Amino acid sequence: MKHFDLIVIGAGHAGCEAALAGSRLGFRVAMITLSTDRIALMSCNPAIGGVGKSHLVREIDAMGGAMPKVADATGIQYRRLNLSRGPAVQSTRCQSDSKLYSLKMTEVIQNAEGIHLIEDEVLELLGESGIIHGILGRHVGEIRAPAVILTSGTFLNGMCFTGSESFCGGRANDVSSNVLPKSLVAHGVHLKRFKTGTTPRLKKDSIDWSRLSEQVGETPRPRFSFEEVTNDLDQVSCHLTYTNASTHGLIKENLKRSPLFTGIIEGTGPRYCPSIEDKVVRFPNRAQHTLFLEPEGLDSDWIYPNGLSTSLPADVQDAMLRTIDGLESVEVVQYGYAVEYDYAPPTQLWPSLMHKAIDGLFFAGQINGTSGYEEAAAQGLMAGLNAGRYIAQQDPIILTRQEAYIGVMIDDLITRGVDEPYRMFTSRAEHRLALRESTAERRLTPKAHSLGLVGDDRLKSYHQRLQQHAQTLDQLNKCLTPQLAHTLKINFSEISGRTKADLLKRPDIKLTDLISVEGIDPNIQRLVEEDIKYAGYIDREKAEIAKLFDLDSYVLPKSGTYRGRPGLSSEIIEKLETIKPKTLGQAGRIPGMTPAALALLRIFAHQQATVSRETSSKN
Amino acid sequence: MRSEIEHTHSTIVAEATPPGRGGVSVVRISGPKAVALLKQIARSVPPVRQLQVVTLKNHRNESIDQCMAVVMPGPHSFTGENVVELHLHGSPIVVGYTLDELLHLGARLARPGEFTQRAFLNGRIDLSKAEAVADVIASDSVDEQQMAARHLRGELAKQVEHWLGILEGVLAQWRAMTDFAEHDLDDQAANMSVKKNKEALLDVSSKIHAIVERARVSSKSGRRIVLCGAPNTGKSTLLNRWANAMRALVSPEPGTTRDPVEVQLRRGALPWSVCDTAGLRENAVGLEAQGAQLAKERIAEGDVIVWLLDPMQPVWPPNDIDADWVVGAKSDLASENLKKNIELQAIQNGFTIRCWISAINGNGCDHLRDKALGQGSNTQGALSLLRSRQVNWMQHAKKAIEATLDGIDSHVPIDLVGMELEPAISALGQILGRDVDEDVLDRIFAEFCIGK
Repeated sequence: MKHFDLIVIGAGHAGCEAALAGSRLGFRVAMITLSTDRIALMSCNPAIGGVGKSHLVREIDAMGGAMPKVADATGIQYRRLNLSRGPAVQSTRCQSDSKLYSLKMTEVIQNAEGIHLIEDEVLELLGESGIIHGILGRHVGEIRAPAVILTSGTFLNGMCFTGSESFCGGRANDVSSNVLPKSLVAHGVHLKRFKTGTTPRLKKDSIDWSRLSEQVGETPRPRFSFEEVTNDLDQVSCHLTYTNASTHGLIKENLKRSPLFTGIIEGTGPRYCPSIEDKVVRFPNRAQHTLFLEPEGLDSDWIYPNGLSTSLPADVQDAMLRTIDGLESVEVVQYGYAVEYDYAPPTQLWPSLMHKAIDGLFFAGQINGTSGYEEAAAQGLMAGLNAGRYIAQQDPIILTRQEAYIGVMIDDLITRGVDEPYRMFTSRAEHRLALRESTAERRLTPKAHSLGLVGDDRLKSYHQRLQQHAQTLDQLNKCLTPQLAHTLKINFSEISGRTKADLLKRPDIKLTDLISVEGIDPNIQRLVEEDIKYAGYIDREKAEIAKLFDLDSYVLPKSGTYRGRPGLSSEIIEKLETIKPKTLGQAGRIPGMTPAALALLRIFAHQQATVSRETSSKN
Repeated sequence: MRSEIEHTHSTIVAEATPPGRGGVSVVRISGPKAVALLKQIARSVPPVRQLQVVTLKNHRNESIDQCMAVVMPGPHSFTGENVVELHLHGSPIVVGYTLDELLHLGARLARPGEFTQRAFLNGRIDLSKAEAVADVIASDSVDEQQMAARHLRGELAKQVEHWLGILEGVLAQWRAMTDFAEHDLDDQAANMSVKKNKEALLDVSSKIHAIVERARVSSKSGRRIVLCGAPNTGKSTLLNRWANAMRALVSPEPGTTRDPVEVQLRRGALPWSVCDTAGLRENAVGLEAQGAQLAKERIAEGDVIVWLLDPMQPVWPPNDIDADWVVGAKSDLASENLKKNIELQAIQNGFTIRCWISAINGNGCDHLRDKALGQGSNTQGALSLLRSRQVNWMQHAKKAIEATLDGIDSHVPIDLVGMELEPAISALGQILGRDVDEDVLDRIFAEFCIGK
């Protein structure tokens, strides 16, 4: 029998960050996957980042995760989004060479200390009296460890559908895991069904590119990591095309052959990522829908038509594609499909991502009802960290909503639950000015260092950037000179005695108008500029946070039981007993909670805390 | 929900005596800013624990009242915090103005049982009394909820709902633009010009302003009874009877009253008013329909809605009118048998005839007035408190909309402008008792074809 500190089931985006976090904390990690040559695969679109998602990626970087650097090293087109729409929503997105991404991540895993890659199917979780001991593999047999992280993605009872055809599988060309779910249920894990879908993949050479409009990437290339990462890859373009009336006609005619409409698929799908069938039905007045043709990689012959997720039968997919400009003689290399899978409703987890009923069992990624590589990776990192702390008998680390998008996500998941696959949006973060892309390192790296997630080197490079920050501020706090006023075509008498920082507050003045930014880290430039330009808004948000902090720091007693308490409705009691909120702030975010119930909760908490304090002082 | 979560550092204020009666009304202020607030409103602070006469003035330097004030510093006060009590002349108007001013200066209206809650948390109430404290909070909250449901009737709720819809629509557009930036929404966004957004926001803001102003006026005039019913049921005759004068034209012709007529009255020290409205009947057109619309607006703002019913031609309140009292009129003309028959019909239609009156000979009129006005003094207090809370939220909303408009005009990035609008939405959500967070996301998915 083999012994490890930590077992990670799955080697997708969540599994990789979980194993790497465990490794960085010094643990021996067994990473078990159905196929070791398919690590960190991009099962859906070949891209990292996007609005809200890139914020997660920046935080993963600030906490020492691998995704940002791998994405920086393997990106083949970069864009910054929302440049003019406000500092909090500015985001980064890249097209990745998906094969290189997987290879690069595999290399990172292989080079990480203490990670043992095992190719096998996990059949059972081993444990008793609500404590996990290990797992049983089909071939390797029993593996023992005090903590297990489950990152099984869409593989639990995964079913793929194209038209009326269906096959068991977590993804195209992969078998699903149909034994493990039984063991999970036997241990008291509650499972439900979600569905998602993916687009057909098109053969590059069969597309008439000359007729499509091009979307080029940005130079200089923005990056995800706060540190410089080499990337010598050629940068490529995406192309746009549109569906039309004949496409929509074909889809409507064949709706009865779509498993989404015939009722074969019962799981809930994400509203933000609907199939083309959904779009045509729900928005009948739209004459066209945009498709983005994205390359899967530099050497790849595959094109990902973003916006065309479908589970229509293969012949309809062929026919509808060929109605589209530039795709008249397109060949499909892999048909689109819908996948239905088991997820574990995340309200059964503690904020540490450990299951409430099974000590030592952690959940991360799509199994928790989320979607997206970035969401998965961020949970993986936190599950890895907290599994490590569980093994070492330390308190879990819980990032707050005011501290990180990761905190927002996990709090949403465990407090509010999910009724569709969860993806990050900037509008989910009520304090998003504090959580800007540019501030992730300042918010999280010192903490990650103290936890052992990032090394001294990284802390040192962060401190160097801080120094640059201070120097830039020094420059900006100098008074304006007549020459500068002249260059900016501003009347000097109007601004004499004012500093450059004062001037930066004007909407039309940029940092580069005021000082030379040569040699200053691009993120530091952005940080300083945003801090000064939006100081009014940022300060106001800080005041809001200060008010709320009181509630989130109000810890509810562990032993708290709410049954039989006067004044609480049975509905509220049910919610409190299920979610088991850790703080008054969390209780307040449970859907349906009332101010009166919160007031009562405080009374009980106060009474209980005082009584237990008195009892312990007597002993 | 989010903004209603309590801040223990806030300073809270409420009337501590049953309102509307007696010579003295006590307004209690508790929290860190209690003394500072007293200084602002009274221009002086008496020595601690000594009752002293002060003159209260509002921020426009207008006198509110000459009253007694006492400062009780924490931790040896009722709540354990700094507490100020103002002993005002016992008038709802004076209390209303005082509360308005304190809210304007940054205090927050206390929630049900909140003074008691603070006292408990600060150790001023024995731990063993926790259950009792919980009971106070729970039962006060239930009362308040019932009041809220009663008070926020048809028209006003519909209006707030409508504004909320407009604001959410605007915010949904902005958030769709930012959160789905890569989805190429520009073609869908073509119809959302900044100009249109601004017009919509301005419109909501001015309508809120109008309601707030009317509420201010009506807070001076006490409880308002609105008379409604089919044409020619004797509404105007009843008003004249109560007013003891010919204040409204009466004639046997149905539809004599077109414009609402309102009369300000007093019963003892208590001000109240009665409003007569145009008769409501189905399929009204032209002037009559306009009169009916005005009537519905008055009904929305009324505290007690009295529906008069002619036993010879009974017409029951329609669905959109939430009548507190269904009253049989013209009792002098109806036989006992007819009355019994009408009472039975009422039950079959889901109503109760609360009493019979005759506006012509005066039978039952005083009884109806006293019952309608005096549904318990506490009820009245809670109602006026609720109203000031609603007005308070509306003012918050209006301020936030104005800040949003400022933001648009000074070309602030759209995400930040959206942050200005959020408080307006949550304030209106508070009035309706609703969590609006998810609603905006729902709007985005309903209105925009998202999905790259």
